[in-house]
Amino acid sequence: MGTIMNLAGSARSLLLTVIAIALIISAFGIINTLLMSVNERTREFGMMKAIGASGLDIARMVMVETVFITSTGGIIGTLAAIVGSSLIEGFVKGMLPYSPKGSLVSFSPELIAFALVFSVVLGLICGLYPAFKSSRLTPMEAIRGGVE
Amino acid sequence: MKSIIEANGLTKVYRRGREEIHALKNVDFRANEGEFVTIIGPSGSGKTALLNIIGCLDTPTGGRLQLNGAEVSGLKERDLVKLRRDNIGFVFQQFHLMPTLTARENIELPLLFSHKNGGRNKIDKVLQMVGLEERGDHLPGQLSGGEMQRVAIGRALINDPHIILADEPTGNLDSVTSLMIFDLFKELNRKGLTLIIVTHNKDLARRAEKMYTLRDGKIRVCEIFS
Repeated sequence: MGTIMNLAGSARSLLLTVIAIALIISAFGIINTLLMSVNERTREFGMMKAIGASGLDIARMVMVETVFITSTGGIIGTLAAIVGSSLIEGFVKGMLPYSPKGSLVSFSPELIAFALVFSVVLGLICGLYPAFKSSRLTPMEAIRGGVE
Repeated sequence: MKSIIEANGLTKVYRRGREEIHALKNVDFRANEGEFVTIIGPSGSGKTALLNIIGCLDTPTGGRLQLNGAEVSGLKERDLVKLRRDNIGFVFQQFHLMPTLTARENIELPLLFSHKNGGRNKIDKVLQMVGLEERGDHLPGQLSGGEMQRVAIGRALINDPHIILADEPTGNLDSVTSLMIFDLFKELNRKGLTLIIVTHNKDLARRAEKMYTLRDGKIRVCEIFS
């Protein structure tokens, strides 16, 4: 029994490591995408500054958009996990000759809440640098399409 | 007549690597309240640099600038934003409209940042002023160049500025549409707005009250027509 618990513990540690790496990679992916988006919208930000937006207004806009996108991603991801894990469970059970009768997958409301909150927090963290960068643009540089 | 823009000894130096580009060299500029001023000159003469400094979009390397009685030199970014928001409306050559917003929403955009209460009536009034009362619900892609510029002018007007600054507003328009846009500027000027317009078109520029000619970063001539 101890050996099985050890094996399960090792598998869990491995899984958590993979998740952590995936999260770090996706965080960099989000930052990179946001920076590209900010760069492409430089002129737009310049125009907004010319018509009365402050650096704080622009930063706030980038942050709100980031949190909206990441939290929408969090919701879609959670739904995909619920649907996808049921499909995978069915596939795995079909492949295994002796599989448990009960469900292999369990969802706890706490875990779902954590995933959703985490997606918002990740959005906030990832949006900080692009928001700061876009807020620092001077209107002239921005209208010319230049980036600091 | 009260001076609304007063610039003395403005200089602007851009650095490109080790090279220094002197865009403005000791420029004195003055516009009175309700005046229609044009700035002409060849490419690279410093017209846009001057307009951007007057509009607080850029800071001068040297010299002094007063806008509506307020000293601009040395102001912090926050104060510059407020000064720009309360006093100036911008019109650009490329219109710079948001393609996903309708004409009405584009005009409304500055109110988001100024937190002024616009209301549907005010936007309708501006749409009427720029002659687009029937086109308010169209996207920029569904409008002609002249109409897009009218939307941009409407957007510049929504915060009730004292000054309209336009950088080559007819640069992307044909001659007939350019004339119509200039007529609109004249109309706004008659209502008391101060207009500073940068243009390449000397014929249109002569329709103003005062015309500055810039060359090599210096004001060469200042002609007064009326």
